[in-house]
Amino acid sequence: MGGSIDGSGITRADRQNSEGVLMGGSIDGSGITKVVDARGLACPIPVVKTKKALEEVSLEVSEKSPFTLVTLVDNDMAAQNVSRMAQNSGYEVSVEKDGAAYRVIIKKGSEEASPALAPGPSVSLEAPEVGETRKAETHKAGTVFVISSDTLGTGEEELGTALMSSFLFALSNADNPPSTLIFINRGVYITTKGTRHEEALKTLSSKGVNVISCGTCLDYYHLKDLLIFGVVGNMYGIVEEILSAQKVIWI
Amino acid sequence: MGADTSDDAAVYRIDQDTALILTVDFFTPIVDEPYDFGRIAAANALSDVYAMGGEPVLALNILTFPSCMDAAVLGEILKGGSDKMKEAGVYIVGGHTVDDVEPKYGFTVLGFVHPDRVLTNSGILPGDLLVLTKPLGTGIATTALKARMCDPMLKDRVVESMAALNDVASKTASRLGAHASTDITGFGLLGHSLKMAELAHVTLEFWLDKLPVFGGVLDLVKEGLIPGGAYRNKEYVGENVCFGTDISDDEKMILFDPQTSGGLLVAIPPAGAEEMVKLLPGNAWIVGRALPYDGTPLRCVRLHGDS
Repeated sequence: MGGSIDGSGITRADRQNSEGVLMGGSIDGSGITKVVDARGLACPIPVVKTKKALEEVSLEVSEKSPFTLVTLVDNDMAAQNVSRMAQNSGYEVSVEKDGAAYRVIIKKGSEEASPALAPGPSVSLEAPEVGETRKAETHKAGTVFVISSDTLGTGEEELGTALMSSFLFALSNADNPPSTLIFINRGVYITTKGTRHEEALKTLSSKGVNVISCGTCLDYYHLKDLLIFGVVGNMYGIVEEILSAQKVIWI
Repeated sequence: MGADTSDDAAVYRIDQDTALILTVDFFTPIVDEPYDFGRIAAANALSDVYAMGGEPVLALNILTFPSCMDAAVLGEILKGGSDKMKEAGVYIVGGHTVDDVEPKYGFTVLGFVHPDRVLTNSGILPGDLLVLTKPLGTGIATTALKARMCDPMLKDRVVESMAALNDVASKTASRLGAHASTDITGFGLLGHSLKMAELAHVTLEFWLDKLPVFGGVLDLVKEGLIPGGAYRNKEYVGENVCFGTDISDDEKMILFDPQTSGGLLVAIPPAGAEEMVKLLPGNAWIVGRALPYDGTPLRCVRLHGDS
């Protein structure tokens, strides 16, 4: 950490917008620092404000720059909720108690790559491993397929199933595989036990393709315990994935 | 029934065949739609009577309302309340309204029960199974609702669940020989269970993979959308619960989540429990069992699908 947070408290802010978000203007080795003052605000507002600020700062800074976001809250529960959200989004989080206030320090930038549903890729300038960087960039710029059925096209079910099989097989052999496959509605029959497309999904997974299945859909079809490929995603994660994709193809 | 067993309502015996049940409950809006708020407030107030195995008969409105707010909103709240009371066969015979900065709504409810068939929260016996009659997660879902981060499908399911009466569950449990019952509300599943376990001097074991939870709630926990009450409940239960090592912190928060108009938690011998689940498909789940006290009032384990 550079000079953004000193022993006495929070970096002097250069400007404050209407949301109560302070923006540190200087960019040093540790990237920019942003402060969200959520003291005196009732649950769940501190989480909402922090989430929004993380999204904004992810857009403002270049994707390779590290940054630090500090959320100020006045109670332990809010500190825990904000930490939980940021940790689950792939950030590095620490909490400091200062009198009646808590500083939740959220950092992007040093170690791990961000998980599939994180708001932004986590690539470090300080440790520029070429392979890692390229992988994250591919993910950001990649093609996302949304697969909303276990059959391909409209028509006879038997034909549709065969076509889906052939489609996934061809996709798994493509030179330039997609970055993410999102399975919604009956599409979740493809990622769960009893799937007819195990081989193709195995190949796609081994090529580093993110496989996300809609949690509500798994619940609806009672398939939650039978998921065998990829992770469960909620609608927020799915929307974020679609919005950050370079190209979205709906099947 | 004295105040010492912290039961859901007061019970007063009139004669050999009749006891009165008296209770009051009101709260601030938890959903934006005034009609739904009214329905939920009514179902929630009635629930205390059902938890005691009683039959509600009369109710009085308790309402605070800002004088500057649209009277149509007031009408919708009252209509929601009165429709729900009608469904329960309860007459609203009056009430009282006070001007206040925030709306609050609820009821005083009067019910009857046969003195020998009062379901208290203290009668659990080792060997009983635990049956829960609504899924968990309303506190987390309504917190997400406030953050505008609740999926509309989840919202509909949670609202309908909070507005659902515990009447059939109560009658069924009573008829099948339940030993104890309580309604799960502000203290969350584990908070209310702790009271029951201590009163009966038993250990209650919950099976995490058998507990019904609204789909999507665990995702909301991961987003940090946990109401303050859940943390307070966690503190309240403290060392009195022992969790299996494969249970995550996020999952634990669902067990501490404060519920609004939650389901009944019923302790009942195994045959009755199985019958109850059969009679109330999709509205009753066997979620655990009572054991002789082993030093820890509450345990929570994962069964991994067997049983």
